[in-house]
Amino acid sequence: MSSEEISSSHSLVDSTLTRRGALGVGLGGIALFSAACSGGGGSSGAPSGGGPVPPTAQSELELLLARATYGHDAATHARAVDLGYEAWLEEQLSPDTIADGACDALLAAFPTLTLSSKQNYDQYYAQGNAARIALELRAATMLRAAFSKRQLFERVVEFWSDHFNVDQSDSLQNVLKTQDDRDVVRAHALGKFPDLLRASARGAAMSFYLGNYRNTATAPNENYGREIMELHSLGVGNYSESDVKAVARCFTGWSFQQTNSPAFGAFQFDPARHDDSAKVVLGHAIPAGGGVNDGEIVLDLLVNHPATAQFLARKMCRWFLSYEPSTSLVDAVAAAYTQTGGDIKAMLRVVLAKSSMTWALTQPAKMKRPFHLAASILRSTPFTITDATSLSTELGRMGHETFLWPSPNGYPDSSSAWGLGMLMRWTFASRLFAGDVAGVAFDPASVFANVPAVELARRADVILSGSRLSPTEVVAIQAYVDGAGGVDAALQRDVMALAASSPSFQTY
Amino acid sequence: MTHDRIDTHTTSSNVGEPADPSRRRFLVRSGLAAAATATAAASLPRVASGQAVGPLHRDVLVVLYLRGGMDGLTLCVPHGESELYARRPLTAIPPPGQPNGAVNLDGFFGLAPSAAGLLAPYQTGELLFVHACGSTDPSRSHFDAQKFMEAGTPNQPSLPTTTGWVGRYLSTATPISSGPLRAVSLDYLVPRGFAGGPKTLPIADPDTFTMPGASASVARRRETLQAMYGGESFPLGPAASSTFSTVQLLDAIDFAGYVPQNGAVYPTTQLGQRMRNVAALIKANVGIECLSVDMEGWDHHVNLGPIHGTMAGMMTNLSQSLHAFWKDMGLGIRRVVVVAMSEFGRRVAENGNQGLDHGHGGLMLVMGGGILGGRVLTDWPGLSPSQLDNGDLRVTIDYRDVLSEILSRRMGATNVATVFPNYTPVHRGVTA
Repeated sequence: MSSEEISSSHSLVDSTLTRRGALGVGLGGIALFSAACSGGGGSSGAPSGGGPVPPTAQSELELLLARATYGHDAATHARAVDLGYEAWLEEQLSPDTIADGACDALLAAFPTLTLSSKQNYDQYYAQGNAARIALELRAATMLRAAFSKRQLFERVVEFWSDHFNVDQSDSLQNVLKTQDDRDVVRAHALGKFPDLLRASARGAAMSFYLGNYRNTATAPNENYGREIMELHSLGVGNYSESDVKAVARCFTGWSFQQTNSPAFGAFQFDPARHDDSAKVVLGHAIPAGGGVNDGEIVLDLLVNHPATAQFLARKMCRWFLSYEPSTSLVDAVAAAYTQTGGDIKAMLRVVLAKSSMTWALTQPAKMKRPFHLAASILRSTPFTITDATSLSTELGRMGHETFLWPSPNGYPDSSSAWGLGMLMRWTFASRLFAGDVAGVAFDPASVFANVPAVELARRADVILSGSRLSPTEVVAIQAYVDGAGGVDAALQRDVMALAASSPSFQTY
Repeated sequence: MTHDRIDTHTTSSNVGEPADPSRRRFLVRSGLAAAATATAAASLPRVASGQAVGPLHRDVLVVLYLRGGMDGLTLCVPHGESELYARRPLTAIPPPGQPNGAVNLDGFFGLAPSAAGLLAPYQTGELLFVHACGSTDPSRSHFDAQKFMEAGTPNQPSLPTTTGWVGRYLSTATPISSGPLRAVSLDYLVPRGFAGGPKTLPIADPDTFTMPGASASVARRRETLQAMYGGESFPLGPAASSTFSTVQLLDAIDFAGYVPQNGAVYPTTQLGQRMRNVAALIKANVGIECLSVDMEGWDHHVNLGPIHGTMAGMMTNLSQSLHAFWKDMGLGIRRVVVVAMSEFGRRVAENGNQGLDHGHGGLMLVMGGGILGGRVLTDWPGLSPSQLDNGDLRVTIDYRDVLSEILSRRMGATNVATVFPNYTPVHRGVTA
C-alpha cells in the first residue's frame, strides 16, 4: 500500500477514533499527578467526520508531546512544561544538543551498530551469524524509540525508514541495512531531503533490495527507476511508463562495492555498464555521454519537482497530525520544502507548529502501530531489560517486526490496517507485564508500592499514559481490582496489562 | 484436548473421502458433464458439526493473493508459442519432452515442472487456469494495481477505495449464519480486498487466537475489556466485540491437533500452514464465508529461476499447498472455491538479469468442485509484438468476469453491481 493510497482511504474508518481526555482530568474531576501539564487553551472544536466528540480537549502542548514522542513519560512532560511549546520543539529539532547517555549505554550491548559493512560481513555474515546483526539493529531501534531523549528524531527516523523501506529478510541485507540505518536514514533524517534521497540512491541497501546493482545497459531493470518516483519522491500519477524506462536507464551502472574489500558496501559507478545514450526524463532531455551524471540529473529533477514537495508534505502531515490532513496545511509544508531546498527541519516546524496542533486537536486520534504501542509501554513504565532482542519476536506476533515489511512501500500508517487486530495487542501487553518476554522484567512494586487497592487503576493510568485513559476505562479496571479476592503481584500485573490494552492506549 | 472441543478429525470424516480415480472428470468441455457436476455439488449435504447451518448453501470463498506480480507465462507456459522462446531465451520453461520441459496440459499450455502438484486437481476437473486474465487497469505499479484490483474499481480512479470487493460482498449479502465471524485474514492485517466487511478479523494463527493470561482470571479480564471497548466506535469497538466471540468460537476447535484427511501433507511453509488452517476453519463449519491468504514475493526482476531457482521454489510451495488443501478437503471441495490472483503478470521479454519486469496480463487459478476445470480458459491474444500491450500480455478476460461468475453462480450473490461498480461482467464459463 502506498502512502498515496493511504491518504485517500478509509475516511470513515479513521474519523471515528476518538481522542481522549486531557492530562490531569481524571476520575471524578480529581486532579492527578501531572495536572500542571494540562490547560493551555485546548481547542473545543468538534471532530470532523461525525465521530464522537472527544470527552475533553487537550492542549496543543499535550498533543505535540503525543505526536512527537513515543508516548508518555514523566520526565519528558516535565521538560516540555518547563521549556514551553516552541522551545521544547526547537530542542527536539536539534537532537545533537540533547545528552542521551542513558540510551547510548543501552546500545553499547550491540557492537554491530557501529561496525562498517566490511567488518560486519567478516565478523558476522561470513561466520554464518548475519542474523545477529539484524537482531541487534531491531533491538536497538526499539530501545531508542523507548528510551532516547531525542524522541522527535526517532519518530522521524521511523518515518523515513518506512519511506525508504528496505526488507531485511535476505541475510546480506542484514549487513547492508545497518549501514543504511546509520549512514543514510539517521545521518539525514533531520537534514535536507535531497541529501537523504541521494544517499539512499547511492546506498548499498536500496541498490541490493530493488536490484539496481544489476541494472545495466544491456540488462535494464526498472525496479528502482519506478520506485524512486512512485514511493520516494513524486508519488504515483506524476510520471509516465516511458519515464520509468528512462530513469532506469539513467541509473544503469549505479551499484555498490561487492568485493570483500574495506570499501565493501560503498557506492560504485561502473561506466562500462552504463547506458550512455540520450534520454528524456519528465520532459527533460538528458544528452548522451553523461555517465554517472545522468542519475544525478534525475535526482535533481525529482527533488526540485513540486509533486515531491506535495507528496512528502502530505505524508509527513499524515504521520504527525491526521490521516486526513487539510489541504492548506499540506500546502504550507510543501511551501516550506520548496523555499528551503527540502530542509526537513523547516518542514517539521510547520507540521508541528502550535497552529497545526490547534487544527489537529479537532481531528480524530491516530492509531498506534504495534511498534509504537510497545515503545509507549516501555518508556512509561519501569522495566528491567537485560535482553531487548526478544522484543523483536513479540513485534513479529503483531505483524510489525522492524525492517521486515516485504514491499518497498513500508508498513502502512492507517487505522484501517491496524485497527482490527486487538487480540495480538492484548496478548503482547499481558505477556510483557506477566514477565513472559525473556529479558524484559517488570516488578509490580516499582509502580504499586504503598498504593492502596482503591487507587490501583488510577495509578496504572498515571504511569502508563499520564492519565489519558477515559473515566470509563479507569472505572472498569478498578472494578476488576475490586472484584478480586485481594491484591497480589499477579493482580497488579493484570492491572497494568489491562490499562495498556485499553482503547485509549491504542491511540495517540 | 478438552472434552468440549470439536474434534476436527472426526468432524471432517464425512467429507474426507480419498481422492480416487472415480472422481476424475475428463468431460469438462461437455455440458452434460458440467450439469451432472453441478447437481452433485448442489445436493451435497453440509458438513455436520453440531453447529446450526444457515439456509443458504454457498461455497466458501478462499482468496489467495500472489503479491508482487506472478508471472503466468512461467507457471502456465504457452509452449505452443514460438514467440515466447524468442523473447525469453534464458528464462522460458522448455516445451514438453525437453529437459526440464513443461508438463503438457492441452497441447498449447503446460505447467512448469515445479507446479506439477497442480496436475491432480486439474485432471479431476477441479482446477481451472484462466490465462491472459487480470485487471484492465493500466497501472504497472504494484501498489496502485493492487489497490484498484482489490477495491474492485479498475480504471475508475475517482471512486473511493476505502472498501474491498469482498468487504462489499459481505456487507450486502445475507450471512449464512448468525455466528460472530464471517471472514478471516490468515495474517496480521486484513487485506484491502476484505476492507469494510462485517465480522472480519485478522487471525494469523487460529491455534493461538485465545485470551492471554492466567485461566483463573480470564473471564473477569474479558469482562473488563468488554466494559472498556463496549462504547467504542468502528474500528476498535466492533473489532473487540468480534474478537471476544471469535475467541470463544475458536477455543472450541483443536487446531493444533488437526489431522489433514486423505493423506494430505501440507508443506511446512507459511503458505502451507495457512492453507492447513483454512481447511481446519472451513471444516469446523462455524459460518466463515470468506478467507484471505497472502503469498508475498513474486516480484522477480532478477534471476527468475523458473526451473531450480526462486520462482521454482515458490511454485513448488504454491502447488504443494494447493494440492494438499484439495486432497485434504476431499468431497468438501465441492463447497469451496479457491481463487488465486496477482496484481499483474510480467513483461513478455526477459530483462538482462534473467528476470522479468512489470507486465500486464496474468493468470488466475480457480479451484473447487463447482468449477469447470481441467482446462485453460483463455481468449489468447498471442505474443508477437503487434499482439502485445506495451510489450506485455494483453488482458482479454477481466478478473471481474471470473469473480462475478463465482459470486453469482457459486455463492448466490445478487449484489455483484455493488461489488464491482460500473461494470457489466461477462460469464466466461468458469463454473460448472
